[in-house]
Amino acid sequence: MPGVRPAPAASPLPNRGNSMNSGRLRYMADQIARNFAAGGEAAAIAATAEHIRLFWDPRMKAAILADDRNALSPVAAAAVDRLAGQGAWHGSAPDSSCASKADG
Amino acid sequence: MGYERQPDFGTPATGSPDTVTLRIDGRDVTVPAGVSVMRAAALAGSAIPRLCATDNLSAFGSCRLCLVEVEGMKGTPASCTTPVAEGMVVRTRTQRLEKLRRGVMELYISDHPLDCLTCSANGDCELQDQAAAVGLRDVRYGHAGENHLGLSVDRSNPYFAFDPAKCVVCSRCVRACDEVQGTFALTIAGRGFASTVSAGQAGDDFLGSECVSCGACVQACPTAALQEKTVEDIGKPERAVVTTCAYCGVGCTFRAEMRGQQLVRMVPWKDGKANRGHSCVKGRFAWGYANHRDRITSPMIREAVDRPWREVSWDEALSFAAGRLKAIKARYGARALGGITSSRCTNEETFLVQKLVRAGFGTNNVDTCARVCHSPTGYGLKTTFGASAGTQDFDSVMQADVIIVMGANPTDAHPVFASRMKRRLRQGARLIVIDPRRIDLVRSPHIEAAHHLALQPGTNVAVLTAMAHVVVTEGLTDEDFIRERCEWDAYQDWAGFVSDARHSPEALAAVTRVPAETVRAAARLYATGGNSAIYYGLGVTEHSQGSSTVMAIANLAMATGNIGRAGVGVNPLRGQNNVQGSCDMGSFPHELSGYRHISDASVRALFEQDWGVALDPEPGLRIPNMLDAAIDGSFRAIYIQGEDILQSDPDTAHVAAGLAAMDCVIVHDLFLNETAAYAHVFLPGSTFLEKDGTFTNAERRIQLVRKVMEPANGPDGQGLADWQVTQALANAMGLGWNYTHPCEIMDEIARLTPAFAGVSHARLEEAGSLQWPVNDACPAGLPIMHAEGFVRGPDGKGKGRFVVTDYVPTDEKTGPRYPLLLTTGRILSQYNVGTQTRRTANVVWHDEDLLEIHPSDAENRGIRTGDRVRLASRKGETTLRAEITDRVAPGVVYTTFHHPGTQANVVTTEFSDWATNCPEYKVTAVQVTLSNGPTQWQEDYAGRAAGARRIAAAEPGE
Repeated sequence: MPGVRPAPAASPLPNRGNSMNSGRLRYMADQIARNFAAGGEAAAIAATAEHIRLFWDPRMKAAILADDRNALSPVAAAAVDRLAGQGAWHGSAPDSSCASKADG
Repeated sequence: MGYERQPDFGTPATGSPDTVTLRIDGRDVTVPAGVSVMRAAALAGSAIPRLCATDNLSAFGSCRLCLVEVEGMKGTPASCTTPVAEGMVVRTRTQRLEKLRRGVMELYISDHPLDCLTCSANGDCELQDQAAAVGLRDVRYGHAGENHLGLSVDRSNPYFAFDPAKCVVCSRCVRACDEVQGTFALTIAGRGFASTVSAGQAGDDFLGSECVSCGACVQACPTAALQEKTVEDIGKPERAVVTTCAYCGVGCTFRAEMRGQQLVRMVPWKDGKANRGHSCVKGRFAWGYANHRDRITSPMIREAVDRPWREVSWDEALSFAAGRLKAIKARYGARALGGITSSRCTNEETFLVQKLVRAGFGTNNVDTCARVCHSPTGYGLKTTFGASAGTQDFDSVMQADVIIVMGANPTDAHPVFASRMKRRLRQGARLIVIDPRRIDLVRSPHIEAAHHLALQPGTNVAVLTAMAHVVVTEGLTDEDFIRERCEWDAYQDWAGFVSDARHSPEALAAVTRVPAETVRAAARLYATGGNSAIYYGLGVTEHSQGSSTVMAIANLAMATGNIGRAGVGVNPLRGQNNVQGSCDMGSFPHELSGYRHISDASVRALFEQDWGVALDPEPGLRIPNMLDAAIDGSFRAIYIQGEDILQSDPDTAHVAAGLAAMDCVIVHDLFLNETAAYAHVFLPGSTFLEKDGTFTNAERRIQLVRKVMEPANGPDGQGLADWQVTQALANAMGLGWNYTHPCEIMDEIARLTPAFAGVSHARLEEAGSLQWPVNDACPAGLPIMHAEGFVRGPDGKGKGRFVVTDYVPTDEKTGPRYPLLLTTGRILSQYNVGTQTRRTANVVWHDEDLLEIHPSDAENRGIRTGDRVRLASRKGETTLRAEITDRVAPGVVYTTFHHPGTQANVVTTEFSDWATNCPEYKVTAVQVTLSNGPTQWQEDYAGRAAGARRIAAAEPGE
């Protein structure tokens, strides 16, 4: 947009230009993993994988699956590996803790 | 409904289940115990004359008109202050009483202008009615004596005038300000004959006083002393239609009082269960935007966004839009399309937009403005309790003993609910405020918080974890509740986590900057003070740990057993009128209506059968992801109903780049908003006054919105309500919809959504309102959720789940270049990005956004109140004027986001909640320095905006 001055310092979150770019998605995956970390590594990997499965659009999933695992935190990388292992990510029913009915 | 005032029983109901039988004028009358003789008579259908009594205020006994005779009592007691008693014998119409009343009325009228025929209240005046009721025929004193007739009228408030000559000093206005609104702005100055209503100190007028223009005094006034200016200008209304306000999530019910197609005034409806007869300056008065000259009433299109708009017919606009959408879909696939539903539109309209996207566009790329406000509430409460909604009704606050207000400023953003809360606080409930800023509730007349936790922005989770640490380690948990209703293993994990010494208030004080003793005292009060309720707002959700904070709140409520009964609960205060509804209606890209995940094949099958199309089983893009994908080139068209993402979403430059990258932007709105600068198609919208439907407020209360006038976006009778526009767009794409009324859309919602199974417009008409779930299990709806247990899991019977919420600091850090933290909020008179309220007289209270800065930070920078300052972050910069105040702590600055010329979101960042991508509006590292003037961007803004709004002159017809 003309007139909006560019940021005077580099943002810690690289999202300029190609925004489905790996930087943005890596950040999101790492942030999810970090928030699940307190539950222990195995649970965090499972929860992160499930979170991405439930909330990311297919192009985002495809991009993170194709991305370099070494650029991710260990938990996020393991979660993406797990998603890759599941193959097609649409099919199985959602986890009950995140997709329950609201008709109490 | 014709025009008549709502019935007034003179004094409030007691709600007592016990009854008392007494005899009034020879008739036996049975009434609830504790009511006044006046109310008993009114309930029996005989009105005792009165002036100072009205049933939303406690009895006052000053006008002396309501005198009665009671057997066994001396004299003539006032019926408003005399409670009924069993066997009491009352006479209301004796010669003695009639004479006394005439004498009293004669004195009133001797000092009242006799201009009834030209008075704006003629025919709608209680003084006039009562003079007739007591049979006053002449005034023996004449009008030549000392009087108040020459006093000047105070016209300072834009919406109402105060004419002291017409005042009968009944104190109803003063009491309404005290009891109903809780502002205490008005008083009676002077004594005896010199008594006058005064707004604050001598020399203050209404506008200059503490008056918040809620309208309670105007509503209470029995004469034309306090009168809406619209009644003066337009005249007395001739019909009234009950409808629901379209501003905040409180969802007040109003009577829209009409004269033909013209709205005369909005008067709060006493039977409204959300507002109980109260209102605020926005809903009561700020509806003039509906007829503002900026309103666009013709569809418009343009080939490119640098071209002027061209006004066209509906058909041409819709076929242009449909053509582009179809072409983009053919070339790039369905996932290149998407839509945004509006939290300001009705449930029915929202449902149609998401249906258009899912069934018509063939993608799940649908999101709603709740993304940027309460999406973490949905995620957090569903994960912990099983239902994405607040647990209580608003009435519940009247049974709370301890109230936590966290990251919310109810007196500004949810004023009508705040008045109820303040009433409860004046009755003795104790208050804990968790907010970086000293909001009005911390200390205002007759209100003082027991504790104010003025935390560092971004440390919500740390504060709540510290409180949980105190509750668990000091043995203040409700173990019976937890064992019965919650998953015990998850609780133990959580309890172990919060008990760790590194989560003690002492350890966390370093990051939260809240003294450990304050945290401990607040936690003890919450856990042990009786019924404890938590109310929270966007200061909780709009953080990188918004969802974690919601879950931390839920953990605290479960740990202390403060869920499942009146007076407790977890209550999100929703920002917009239909945030709850738009979320319920399946506006999120991952779930269908009723919060059912799109990947659930059985749920999808239900919709596929009903709609006759296959649905994409994959979640779609959220708003921020849509913008990212647009810049990436894989997302190319968007239909936006009633949201101005360019102004309301964070990191304006990024939003602008995303919009600019799209091939087809369809904006459906009342005004050419900021987003419309990037639009190719503009579809004119309709206001809440122009359509039928329902809104769902923060209590899950579904209420009818009723059409009171024809939509302005077409010749009389040919305008289109928003649901009709969406349907026309769907049909232009070949979908063949034929809804003839929103009630048919609601029937479809009910058919497809278990929580709404029992909802229909007919049921709502009958019940007034219903709080979902409404189904076989809860046919009358559910005011308080989780009374029997939590509702997690597919069967809705799963126990409550404690979730460990580890404090993860935001990546938005202060440093030498950006040493201050900016947080944002709302002000009473303005609403969100101001699209509506800026187009009303509300600008007299707030005509620009100001930057609040602490005196010490201002001193360091040489800034004085009123100076123009530059506000810069890593994302961008803007300028605005400074206001020095110690409401904010050192190191914290605050502003509102109501004005496009300021555009606070130029500086906010793209950081967002880890679970929902709800933007982190509430924490931005900034620097503030003195500035010579507006930034180039601001200077360019007006010209750019005008350029983007050019409408080509109409060409001569063929």
